[in-house]
Amino acid sequence: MRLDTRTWALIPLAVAINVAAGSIASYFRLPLYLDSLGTILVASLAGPAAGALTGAVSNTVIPALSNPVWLAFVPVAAVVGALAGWLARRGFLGSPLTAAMAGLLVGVVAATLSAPVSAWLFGGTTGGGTDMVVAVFRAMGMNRLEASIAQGLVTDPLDKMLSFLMIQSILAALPHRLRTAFPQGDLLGRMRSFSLPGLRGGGLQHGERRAVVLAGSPTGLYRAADGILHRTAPLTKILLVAACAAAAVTLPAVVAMPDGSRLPAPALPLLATALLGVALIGGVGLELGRTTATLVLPLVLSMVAVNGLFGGAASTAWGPFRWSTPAALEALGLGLRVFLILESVVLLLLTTRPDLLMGDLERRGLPHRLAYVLLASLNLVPTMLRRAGEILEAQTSRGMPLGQGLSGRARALVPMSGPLLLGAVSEVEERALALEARGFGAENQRTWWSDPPRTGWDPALQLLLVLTILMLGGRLFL
Amino acid sequence: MISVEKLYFAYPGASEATLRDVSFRVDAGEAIALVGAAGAGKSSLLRVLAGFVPSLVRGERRGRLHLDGMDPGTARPADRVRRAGLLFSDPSSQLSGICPSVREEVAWGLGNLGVPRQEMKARVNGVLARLGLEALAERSPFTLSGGQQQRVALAAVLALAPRVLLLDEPVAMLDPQGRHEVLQAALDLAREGHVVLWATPHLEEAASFSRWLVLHQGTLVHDGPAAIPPSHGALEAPWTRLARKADGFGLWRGPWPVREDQAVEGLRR
Amino acid sequence: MIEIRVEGAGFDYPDGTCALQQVDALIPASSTVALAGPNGAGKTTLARLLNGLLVPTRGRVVLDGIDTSQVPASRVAGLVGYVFQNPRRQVFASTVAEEVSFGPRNLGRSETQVEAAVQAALEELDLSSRAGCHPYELSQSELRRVALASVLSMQTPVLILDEPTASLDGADQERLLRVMAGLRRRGATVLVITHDMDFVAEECERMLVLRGGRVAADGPPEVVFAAGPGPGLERPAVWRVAQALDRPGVLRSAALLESLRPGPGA
Repeated sequence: MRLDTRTWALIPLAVAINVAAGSIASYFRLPLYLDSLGTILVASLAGPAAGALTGAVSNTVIPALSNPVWLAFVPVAAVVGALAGWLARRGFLGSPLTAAMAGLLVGVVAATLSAPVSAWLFGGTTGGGTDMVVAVFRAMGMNRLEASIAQGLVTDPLDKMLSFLMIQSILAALPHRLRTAFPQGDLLGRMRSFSLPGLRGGGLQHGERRAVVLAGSPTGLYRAADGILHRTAPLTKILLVAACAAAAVTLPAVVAMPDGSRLPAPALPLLATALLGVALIGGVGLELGRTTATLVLPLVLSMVAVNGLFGGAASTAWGPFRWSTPAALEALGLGLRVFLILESVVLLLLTTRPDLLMGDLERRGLPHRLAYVLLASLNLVPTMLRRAGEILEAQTSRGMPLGQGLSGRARALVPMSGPLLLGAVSEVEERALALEARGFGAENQRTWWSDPPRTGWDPALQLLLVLTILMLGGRLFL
Repeated sequence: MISVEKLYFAYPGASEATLRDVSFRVDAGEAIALVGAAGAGKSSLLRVLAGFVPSLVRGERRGRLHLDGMDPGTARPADRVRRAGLLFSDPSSQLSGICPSVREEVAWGLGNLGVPRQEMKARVNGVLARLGLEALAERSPFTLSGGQQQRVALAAVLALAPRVLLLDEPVAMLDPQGRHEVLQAALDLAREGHVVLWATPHLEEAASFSRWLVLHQGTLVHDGPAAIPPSHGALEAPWTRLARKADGFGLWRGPWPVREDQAVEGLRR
Repeated sequence: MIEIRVEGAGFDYPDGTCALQQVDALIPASSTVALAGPNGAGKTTLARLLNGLLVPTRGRVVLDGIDTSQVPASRVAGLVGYVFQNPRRQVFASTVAEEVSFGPRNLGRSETQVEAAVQAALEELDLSSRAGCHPYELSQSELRRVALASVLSMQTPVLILDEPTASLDGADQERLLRVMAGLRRRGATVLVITHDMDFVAEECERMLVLRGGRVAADGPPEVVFAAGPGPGLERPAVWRVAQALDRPGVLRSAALLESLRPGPGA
């Protein structure tokens, strides 16, 4: 992909900003994600391709840090980035009004595109707080897809509009030289800036007590150890994920009994248990159990609960609650599929050091620059969170109120995200030069210091897994 | 090794040139302080010397420039990198951010250039030894102190075997211990034959170098042994401030003191 | 005119690390005190206890008779201004004037008061001509001045400065000294966290040295420097020069130079 070195240097910063902004939004208890703030920044300055890449990388890095569910939304994030870049090129960042319109459009698109993923892959739930919203919509009679779209439309447009407005105000005010150093910078055209509504603090309020550390620094899912799984080639583990995905998709989740009733089929739970067994052998059994329990189990339980309660023809009733066993069963089936796939992804992430994973993929053709942004983004997240913490301290010390009222907390967004965004834009040049000074721009075949891990069994295992995938895939067409 | 003739440089759209009529020559093994206030043009000069103009840094450059036998501005990235190494003040933005150990960090640049593994290992181990970093070789760069990180960044640049080292305020973000470590490393490298050009706004720091190139608002106002020209705008050392104050009291005569003992001598008189 | 009493204050982070063991100190009203010591001694932790960002886990901090743990952080912000080292971690507004007005606005001042405070602060730091510029159009030194102005505009009775002299050029040094003089005139209590012993010698009437989370020295600079150098505590150049010129213990450069003047009949 032909991108400027400056763009390659900006993307990891932007991905880290996506994570930090999300952390800020949750610290201030705002009903927003703000997780595309960095994506929109890159899209505006460097174009649709760079924007799409940032979105995709973002949704790949967050799984490595905390939650593998995000992987399913990589395509949506990429589209958001591409669309933002395209809109920026057409001048939509020229004024706050058009920026808000752009944000609205992107938000609607994001909600519409993520709804099917959410509905069909995850039964319309995420295991998080927004499931309450989904439950309300389901109770009103919407089906899975409708409820997912509705839930998305409640938050996404607002979220994207605010993000676009913030980026517009930052870029419009940015000194010309900084902005035009980027490929698309001068295509943004003349931009009208506006003064954000005076941050009148309304006097000293009794707000939140103290601005303590913003968020714990995530260390990522990877656990260093010397187990058998750690020494297995990363590619083998990736193939295992693919095999589990193939199994999850093609094997039956629900089996019909002779007497007409339906029960969960044994295949998927057996495979999930087998994975746990593999994890135990590899010395990460406890971690796998714990991570899946905290991340995946709530999701599955939520799926069953929401679909069971609102899923259609009721088969039993307890008081005011109607329960549909067929719907719950179907959701359980879906949940088992999801469980298996996510479990295998977690196993991969627990036992594979990110840079070794990238190294293996690079040797099989992954472009180095792509591996670079993935790893650099991952490693920049703690730094960016630390910066956000420092910003919080500085602004609180200047009296920024912390706790009263939604609008009061929302006004903290600009003083909090502004320095993050501005800081990133201004440090890109030095980063880009430093990369070039180390030969980043050189067009030749790479060499490496060391090789990714391999055991003797890997070739055989990889062959076995590929055959399994083909066999399972074949079932789809037969 | 470096020869600069009537160098002119201006950023696009700028009303004034950043560098005007700069000329000087540097031979191998010289350790030179490039002294000047913020905005005097030190960083721009180093970037021009490193060959980043006009490929990465937009701007208009005029005049003749030779560095280790070629014009760095027209060289291919791989050649440019092998001739001049540039070090910045912030270690964290120079380290690749993707290598799990100091050893691999130093090797990364060589990997980018496709250096075969045998040679890579030899060069990396050699550089780590030269800079006294073997004890840190397996540590993660993220866990090091500022001074250590900056030495790793220096090692990473050195591994590419440039003969010219351009250091842009390399110790600005370090504590006194770190400053000392990096300064010593740079001076040692000059003794081994590299050209070391160390940009700083601090006269105190420059005092360790025997030859000063002083930039003031884009022009070279001094080229020679350490001495403080009448107008320079650079950051003064405490003893220089004392001397200026003494001058205000009518108690100072002669050139400004470059080192503390010169200040004492001057005041004694 | 606010006095700060630190009574047995200590701070542990939630994960157990002890950042400050125990500090007892009195910062008299309207004094200028230096806070020195090696990295990791607890200087920044103590400073954050003083401006309310942190609440002591042991002991207490009393500002003008008020215990900091009993009032919200925003109230303390109105009493204690804190100038952080890195302006890029706080600058967010589109113009310098807007940036400098953030603080006083948060404190609830009226528009006219805010405007006056902003103008005064910008003038004090020679930034009036840059009031309409975007902060990132400024040079690094101007940006640092903006950060300082944005806290000065809050006109707090106490001010904490974190390494204010790091990388300051000659002109900025003059400006800082002017600001210090202005603060003294209006009776502000000033605490300066610094490694710059020459600045301490010139501007501070007391110094508090921390080591390992405790107070290692507390007194006028002449006394502390006479007791000997230590980790994080080198003697200032002016001390050494004064020693070499047979005027031991003289710290203020003006005093030293006065003493060197040829006297009548010399």
